[in-house]
Amino acid sequence: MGIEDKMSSDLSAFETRLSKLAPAEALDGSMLMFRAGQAAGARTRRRWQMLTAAAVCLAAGTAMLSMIRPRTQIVERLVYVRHESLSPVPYRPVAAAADLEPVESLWRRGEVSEFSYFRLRQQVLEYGLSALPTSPAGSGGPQDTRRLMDELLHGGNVNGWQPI
Amino acid sequence: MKDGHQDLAQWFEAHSRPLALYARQWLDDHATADVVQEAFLKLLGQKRRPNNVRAWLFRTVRNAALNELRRRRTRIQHAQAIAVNRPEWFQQHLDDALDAQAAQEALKQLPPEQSELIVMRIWGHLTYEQMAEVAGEPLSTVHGRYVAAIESLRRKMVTPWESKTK
Repeated sequence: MGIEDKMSSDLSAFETRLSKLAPAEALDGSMLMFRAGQAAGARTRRRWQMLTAAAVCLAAGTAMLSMIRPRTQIVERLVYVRHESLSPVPYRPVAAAADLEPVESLWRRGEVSEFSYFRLRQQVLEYGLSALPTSPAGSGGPQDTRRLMDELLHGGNVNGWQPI
Repeated sequence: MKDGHQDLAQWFEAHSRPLALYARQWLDDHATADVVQEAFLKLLGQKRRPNNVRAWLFRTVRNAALNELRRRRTRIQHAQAIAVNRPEWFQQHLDDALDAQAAQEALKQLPPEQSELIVMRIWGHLTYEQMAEVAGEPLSTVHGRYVAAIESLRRKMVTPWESKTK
């Protein structure tokens, strides 16, 4: 026999009569539904508020971090470095311009090449451009220029050039 | 919970009156409405639906009502407030076998631990196991207390002559 059955018939009948009484209405259903809607809206709003608060906290934290972080300090200090002193370059005095012998006298004495700048200049001044020597066949321009420069710098003869 | 508002309307229709009657064992009319409303809203806010919604609602209302009762400063003040505010607990119909006002008075005279069991059983349709769970008492204690309560209520409401003729 279950616990549900341990009731006398009188008590069971009284229970049945008692259950016929209907409890009075105590609540406004529309008010409850209104509050349920409010609560649902509040949940959505709370979610957005939490997101906003999290973003604000993140921004504030970043700002604080940038303020707290130590700035780069410029430290000035003297540093002594030991190094082997280089041997001094021996002084070679440059000859004074007045001590140099004029180039024309060198040329006249035959110590300057026939193709030297000064000689060519002299020829052009005396006989015109047609007096300039022609380059031998097969020789290129840049090579001629190089030879001329070598001659100019070193005063040597250039192979393949013939004096006019 | 999905379709929460539809479910809420159904639960409200099915359980709001017994729950209000249950809360009235401890609270006045205004506080009763608040407590029951909060219970429904709390149910709506649950992520998972309770296994037994009815028992869950009764337990929630009970806890809220007792908390509200503790919150009030003294029981004397509370009793005075209830005496001033006398809502009708039952709807009176002409074909009712019992007098609604008499039932209300008889229930009020019972100790709260007895009257709450009667409300849970008669109008809440809870099983003894569910009643024991809500009241936080052993099953045998709840059963014995319920039988004592219903006998006491019957003595208060039914005259000896009436009990013999029925």
